[in-house]
Formats: sequence, structure tokens, C-alpha cells
Amino acid sequence: MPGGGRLREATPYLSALAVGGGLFVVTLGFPPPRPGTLGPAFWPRAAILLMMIVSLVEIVRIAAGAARPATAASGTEDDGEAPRQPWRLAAGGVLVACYAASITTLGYVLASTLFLIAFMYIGGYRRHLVLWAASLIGMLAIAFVFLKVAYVSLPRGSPPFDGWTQRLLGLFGIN
Amino acid sequence: MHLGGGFVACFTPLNLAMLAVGIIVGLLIGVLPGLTLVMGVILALPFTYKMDITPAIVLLTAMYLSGTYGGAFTAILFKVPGEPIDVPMLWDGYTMARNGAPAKALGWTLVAALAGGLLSAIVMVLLTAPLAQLALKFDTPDKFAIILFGLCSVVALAQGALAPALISLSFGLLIACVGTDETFGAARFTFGLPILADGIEFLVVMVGAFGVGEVLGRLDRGFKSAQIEQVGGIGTELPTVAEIAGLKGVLLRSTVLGNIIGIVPGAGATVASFISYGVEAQYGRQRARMGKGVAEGIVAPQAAATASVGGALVPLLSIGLPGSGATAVILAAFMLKGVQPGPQIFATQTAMVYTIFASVFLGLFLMALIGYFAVRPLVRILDFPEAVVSAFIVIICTVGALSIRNNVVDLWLMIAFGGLGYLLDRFRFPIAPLVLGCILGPLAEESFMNAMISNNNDVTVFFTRPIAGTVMLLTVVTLVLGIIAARRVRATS
Repeated sequence: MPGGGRLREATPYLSALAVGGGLFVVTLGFPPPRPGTLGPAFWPRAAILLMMIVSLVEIVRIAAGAARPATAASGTEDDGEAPRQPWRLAAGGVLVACYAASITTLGYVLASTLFLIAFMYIGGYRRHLVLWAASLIGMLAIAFVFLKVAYVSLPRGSPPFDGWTQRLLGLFGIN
Repeated sequence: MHLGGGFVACFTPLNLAMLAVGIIVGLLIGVLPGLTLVMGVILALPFTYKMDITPAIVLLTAMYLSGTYGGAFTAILFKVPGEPIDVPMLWDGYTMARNGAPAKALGWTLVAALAGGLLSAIVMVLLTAPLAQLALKFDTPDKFAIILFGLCSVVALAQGALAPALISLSFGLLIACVGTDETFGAARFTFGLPILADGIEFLVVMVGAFGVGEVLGRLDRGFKSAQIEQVGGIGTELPTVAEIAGLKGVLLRSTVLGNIIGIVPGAGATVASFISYGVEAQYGRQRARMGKGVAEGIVAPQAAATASVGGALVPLLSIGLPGSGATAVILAAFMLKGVQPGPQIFATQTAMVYTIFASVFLGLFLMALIGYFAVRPLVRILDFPEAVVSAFIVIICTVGALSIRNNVVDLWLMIAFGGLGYLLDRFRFPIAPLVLGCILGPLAEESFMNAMISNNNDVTVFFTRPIAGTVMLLTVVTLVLGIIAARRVRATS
């Protein structure tokens, strides 16, 4: 395996080693153990050492030239044939961050509606009528289920957006 | 209260409604390739916040149950497995459909799911109470040993990716350390932030890593799904009694396997499905014809997958240890309601336990009924574009994160864990150990520390007590087998 490939394969383990080292330093600031006890730092240090030792073993193994077996990631469907689209991922990531940043100002309903519309466009969906209808109707359905049926408390937003949310939900009997 | 009372309780309007909703939604989640069973159960959690515990658990269990069956529809008809569970269904189910018998293939799936589920539910009822009684005898070293076994099983079953699974687990254990330590009252990894003093809710980690992380991964691929081409008409043709009798050995074998695998912490329906197919392909009477569209290739994985549900509920209810990813979410639901599953639950929540048992039986019949008549409308959900479904997943995940503590910091944490989940998946690190580490880490630490304090820091107590010693031995064997499996995978690749 060429050097660049080995470095790429070792990157996660190097990162884990670095994170582990940093966290271990943090545990040095934990209160010391009382006499006869292991103290609050014991358990996290055990987890950190496990992570660092395993990472070190893998780094040595990769450096020695052994290839990593191809295994499926658990809990996800492997659709590895499609090429990656980093710009789409970056745009989606930024959108999610903007959504989180705006939710307390706009309120859950308004922020989520805008998010749905934007996300579907970023996701490449181009049937505009369906997109807008699904976003608006879907959001109202979700608001009904969570606010009126499940009684979950969700942000209404800051003025004037809280008023808009109130009026919009009031139109559909959701309060 | 006993099982009869549980059946009566199931027929209260709310419990019955939740059972029906759970079965239908679980079937839909099973059908949708973009949504895993575990993710679906996670997304349903926010709906249960304001419910009483019994209808909440009935809903989640019903989703779990029917989710093991719904994915077979698309695997058989469209060669698109709805769940990882259904990959073995492609080999014989889709082949049988392509050979001109799709309705028969769906019929075999229904029979296998119903029979496997029913037999496993009987075992669940018979085993859970005695195991809970045995668990009352457990002391803290025994509890720690069992939890450690659970954590190691998840790692060892990571299909050869032992090192990534161990690292993922370590991260999960560390995330669980954030906040105020239960034993000593010390602040750990709070970095001076008051919100972190209360720790990081495992629900935020679950929703972020599994939900948002999965969506980001699919976004990265541009939501490219497999081409869908339907094979044959959509309907279900049940096999005859004679045909079912001819496969009774396969049914029984697969059900027992699924049950046992379901009981083992960390193994779930996916492992049960693959192992059962593998056993049939190696030792079954029709092993030479497996993969060519035989009924055995459908019955074995499906019966095992559905049987694993009953198996997974046994350790969850009796000792508070989740047998699978979905039961880890159900454990989260219990804990959100302030109920710790385990031996005490039979004394404090008897009605709930037997209602859950009864709901599994009723749910199986309802699942079979709906599956028989409603295949055609259920598979219509494949028309939903992935980008649309994914957008809704994110906003439902947001509800999950926001409604725990009504704090937007949890939303940011969810996004951060979404990013972590994406990276873990990108570099082929399993996410399940991370989540289980978050959930079981505090229990493991508490029982370990209490055991050490009670036994003057004598670590041999975990090996000298009969129960703890036996379980520790099983743990070591599991880890060794995991290392051997990892080496074997490495050698063959």
C-alpha cells in the first residue's frame, strides 16, 4: 500500500490517539481519589487508555503494511457505487447549522419549513410544486402531531416571528 | 396480573391504537430503504414523551416487530432490501419472484415471520420471569460482568472490524462520562459549561449519530438509490399446510437460532438473519439449491429475524440489558419515563410487562393481516424521493433533541454527533458501539465502582463469584472469537 494510502487509513487512528491524549490531560484536573477509592478519573482513563492502545496497535499494523479488510459499516446501507458530492454535503451541513441557529428566532415551524424547502433543493429534488406542497403540508402535519397530539413543547420564536407562528397554527386549530 | 390480563389491557383504546400505529409505521419503515429499523424507532421516541409508559413501549415494540418483516416486500419485489436484515432475502426471495412466483415468496415470508415471531414470543413469556428472578440474586460484580459482556458482544459482532468497534465504544463510554460523576460527585469533561454539568443525553447522541449522520452520508452520495424495477405482480399467496409442514424443521431451527441470537446483547435481527441463512446454506437439506429461489432461503432468515425480537426483549425486561439496537432505544424510552427495566420490574410494573407480552402476540397477527392485504399500498412509499424523506428525518430528529431539556444546546450537540456519525460511517467505524457505550457506560461504571468499594478494591471479585466469573469467561471467549474473526477477515481479504 503506498504511503499516501497508509496515511489516509491511519488518519482516524491518529486522530483518536490525539483526542485520547488530550482527554487524558484533561483528566489530570479531576479531583484526586479519596483514600480507599479509585476516584472519578479511573473510569474515563480506562476508556481513554483502551482507545489509545487500540489506536496505537492499528497505527503500527498499518505502518507495517497490512491492509484493512473491507467491512460494511453497521446500521447504514452501503451504496458505495455512487460518487461523493462534497459540495452538496457542505451545503447541507451549512444549512443544518443555519437551521439550528435560526430556530430560537424564527420558531420551530417557520425555521423547519424553510429548512425543508432548502434541503430538498440542495438534495437535488426539482419538482417545485411537489416540493413546496410537501414542505408546507408536511410541516403543518408534523406541527399538528407534535404540538396537538403529542404535546411536545417546541420553540415559537422571538417577536415578530412568534406572532406569525401563533397566527399560522391558529388557522389550523393548532395551539 | 398475568398474560390474560395483559391481553385485556391491550384492548384499551390507547394501547390498541398504539399497537396498530406501531405495526403500520414499522412496516413502512421496513419498506423504506433510506430508513433503518433502529432509526425509525429513534424517530418515534419524541412521540412518546408525554405518553404513559405502557402505550409508549407498546408502540415502539410494535414498530420493532413489524420492521423486521416490512423490508422483505421490496427485497422480493424490487431487489431493494428495505433493511440490512433483508439482504439474505435477495438471494432466494427475489430469485423466486424472478422465477415467476413473487406472491408465493411473499407468502413464505409472511408465514415465516408469523411462526418465528409466535414461537419466540412464547419463549419470551416463559423465560423472562425466571431470568428476572435469577437476576434478583445478582450483586454488583455480577451486574458489571453482564453489562461488560453486553458491551463486548457488540464489539465482537462487528463483522471483523474489531479495532474500529472498540474505539467507537470507547468514545461512547467517554461521552457518558461528561457531567457530574454519580459515585464521587465530581464534574468531568464539563469545560466550565453549566449545560454539560447535567451530562449529555444519550438520546441526543442516538438521534444525531444515527439520524443526522445517516442523512449527511446520503447527502454526500447525492441521494443516489438503486434503480427500481418491479418483478411480477404485487400480492401474497400463502403456502399450503403440507408445504409448511415440509419446512417445519427449517422454521423451528431458524426460530431457535433467532431467539438465542436475540438474547445475546449486541446481536440483533440482522445477525440472526444472516446466521440463520448461513446455517441453512451449510447444513440444510436443500443446501445445494440455496440461492436458486427455494423456500428455505426465505423462511430461514425471516423466521430468525422476527424471532430475534422476542429474544431481545428477554434480557431487556429481565436484567435491563438491551439485546439489540432497537431494544437499546426501547431501554432509552423506559429510562426517560423513570423506569429501570430489570428484576424489579415484575414487582413494580407487572401490568405493563404482561401488556407488552400480549402486545407482541397481538402485534404479530395484526402484522400478518396488514402484510397480507396491504402490500400494494405499502410499497407505494418507494415513490417518495430520498431527498424529501431525509429532510423530514432531520426535522423530526430536531424535535427529539429539543424536547428532552428544551435547550437549544442539545440541538447543537445533536448536529455535532451527526457530524461524528457521518465521519464514523465514512471511515467505516460502526456507530452501534458508540451508542451502546453511551447508554450502558453509566450503568457499567456505577456497578464497577460500587463493586470495588464494597470489596475493598479487590478486582478478583469479578472472577471468583460464580455468576460474575462465568459471565467474565463468556466475555473473554466472545472477545477472543472476535479477534479470531477479525484476523480471518483480514487474511481472506
